[in-house]
Amino acid sequence: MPAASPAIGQADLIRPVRARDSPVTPLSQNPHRGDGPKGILLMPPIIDARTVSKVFRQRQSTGGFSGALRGFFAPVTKEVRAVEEISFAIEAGEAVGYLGPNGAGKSTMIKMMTGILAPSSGSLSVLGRRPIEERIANAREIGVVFGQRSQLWWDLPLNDSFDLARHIYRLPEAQFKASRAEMVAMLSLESFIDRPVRQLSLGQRMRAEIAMALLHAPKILFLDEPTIGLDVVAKDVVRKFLARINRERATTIILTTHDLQDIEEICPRLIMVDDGRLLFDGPLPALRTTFGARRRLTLDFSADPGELILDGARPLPSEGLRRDFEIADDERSLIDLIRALPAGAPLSDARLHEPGIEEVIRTHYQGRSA
Amino acid sequence: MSAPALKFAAFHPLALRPLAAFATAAARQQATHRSELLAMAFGAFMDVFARISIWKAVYAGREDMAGISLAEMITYALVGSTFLSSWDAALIVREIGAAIRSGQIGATLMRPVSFPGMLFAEQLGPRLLQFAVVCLPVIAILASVYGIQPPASPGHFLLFVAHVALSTTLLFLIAIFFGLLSFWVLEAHSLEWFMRGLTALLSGGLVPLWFFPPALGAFAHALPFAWITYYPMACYLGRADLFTSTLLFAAGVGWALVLGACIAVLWRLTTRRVTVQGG
Repeated sequence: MPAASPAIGQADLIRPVRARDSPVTPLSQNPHRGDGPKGILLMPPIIDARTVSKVFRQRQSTGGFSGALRGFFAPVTKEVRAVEEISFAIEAGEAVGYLGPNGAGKSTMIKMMTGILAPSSGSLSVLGRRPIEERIANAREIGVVFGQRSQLWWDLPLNDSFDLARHIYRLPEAQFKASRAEMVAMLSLESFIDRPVRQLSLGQRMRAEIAMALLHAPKILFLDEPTIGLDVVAKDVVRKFLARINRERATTIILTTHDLQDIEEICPRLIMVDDGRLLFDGPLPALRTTFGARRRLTLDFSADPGELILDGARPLPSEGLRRDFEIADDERSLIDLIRALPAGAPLSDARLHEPGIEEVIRTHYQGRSA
Repeated sequence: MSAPALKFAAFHPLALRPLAAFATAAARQQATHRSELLAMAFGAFMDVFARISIWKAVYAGREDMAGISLAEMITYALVGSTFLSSWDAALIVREIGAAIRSGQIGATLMRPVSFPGMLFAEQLGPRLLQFAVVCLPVIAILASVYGIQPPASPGHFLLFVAHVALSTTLLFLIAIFFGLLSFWVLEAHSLEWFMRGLTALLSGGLVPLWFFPPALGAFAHALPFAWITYYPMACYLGRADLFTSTLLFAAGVGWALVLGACIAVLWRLTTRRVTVQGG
């Protein structure tokens, strides 16, 4: 790992291939990575995090009245390492899913990238700036949507909030009107744009929040749990829209979520964190290989086939007329596998399951706590 | 844009446009709460009525006390506890505290606007609206019953108008200062009551500084709180000649600059060690 350099300068334009400190990052499999061959001039990444850490001090309290007294006169603090030596580089136009369980340090990272929390160590550059030093300049070029917070004015018609955005971001009238018309059309806001925000449904409000964050055509859009609490239809609308914005406007998207479908539909690249540490950074399909997830074969029989031995397949505990196997070889097709069955086996149905990322990740998190 | 250029931009007149927009939006938001405004007007009416009644009882037929006539005290109550009252400003401290506790502050800081500036603008809009729909009607109704003294002179009146602007500014600066402190203590309630107590006593909002014991009076005359209610009213009533009044006004402006600088420093310190709550 190179030493963290706080200044983002000319030297950063020429970047050698860097070895990342994450043990599982499949560098070679990431088509988005901007690191090129040594010495070739490349666009600097739009977000560059190098060994970024964030440590909070948390007050410890012991129980009882005496504990309360002790806590008052001599508070004991404990260090909480919310983000630990995380490094990644994100290129302009990427859509990146930032995934992790509750308390993994996702929001802390977003807060550092948006300039409202200072990293404890490491260097972080967003659009060539240090966000905490230049919060206002940074805010002008990014858009942020917090799933559980609002940028809208509760009692005023939605349009008033949009109008305020025009002044906050100092948008020329023509640009503002064009941008607003585009958002209204793409997110179907027409029917409620004159209604006070407090009367909107959660799905409508979330569409409005996203429109608000995009009116000034930011280069990066950060979304913290944008689909939380939405119903299936509303989730779908939001996902399709975000994918479209990323494709058509080339807006860089960084999205934190619990919902893997958000990532599957919007983000080709996944960054996975747990306990403050980077677990995985790469394209979604590579996650499976990295965590060694296997495909599963399910065979249904019309009569008991007895003990089945299938070449290259490990039998899993099964019941009745169904037999499950784990397939080690990723290249074997369903046809290959069926051909390998003993002749005359009373097979009625056969299915091959691709492991879902949800399953992959669940397996990983369960293994971790064991 | 480089950092120095940006710092300059923060003081550029264009920087006022977003703030004006904030003030307008906040005033519009307040205007949607008509019943709240009505309740405010009623509360202000009762408040001023109670003060006038108390002063009438205190004077009990006497012409003047410490050189202040009852008519002057009634005017002091009418104008001082409406245009120059310190009560509402402490609510800013509560609001900042609530925003910090809930984490909403994070969303607020996503806007490319100076945070203290935004707070100021968001308070100023509703305040101006309240001047029009709460203060003026209350003064008009009660003045028609108890009478009101006109300003001492046209000069004093102009200076008084400037004083109202200064008073509002100082009040917000003090409130924002206490509000920013709540980033550090995470318990805005105590700060709110501390500020409320200090301003009620030291601004002369409850009892004019004329009636203070000499030691406390000298102390209170020098603190910025005195420019919230006491000095503006002294100017209105013409307690000092125009030249002295102008000097006193200038001293208040000095306090506003000092407080503004304190807030800038405090805010810089705060951004460095802020803990934004909530996941």
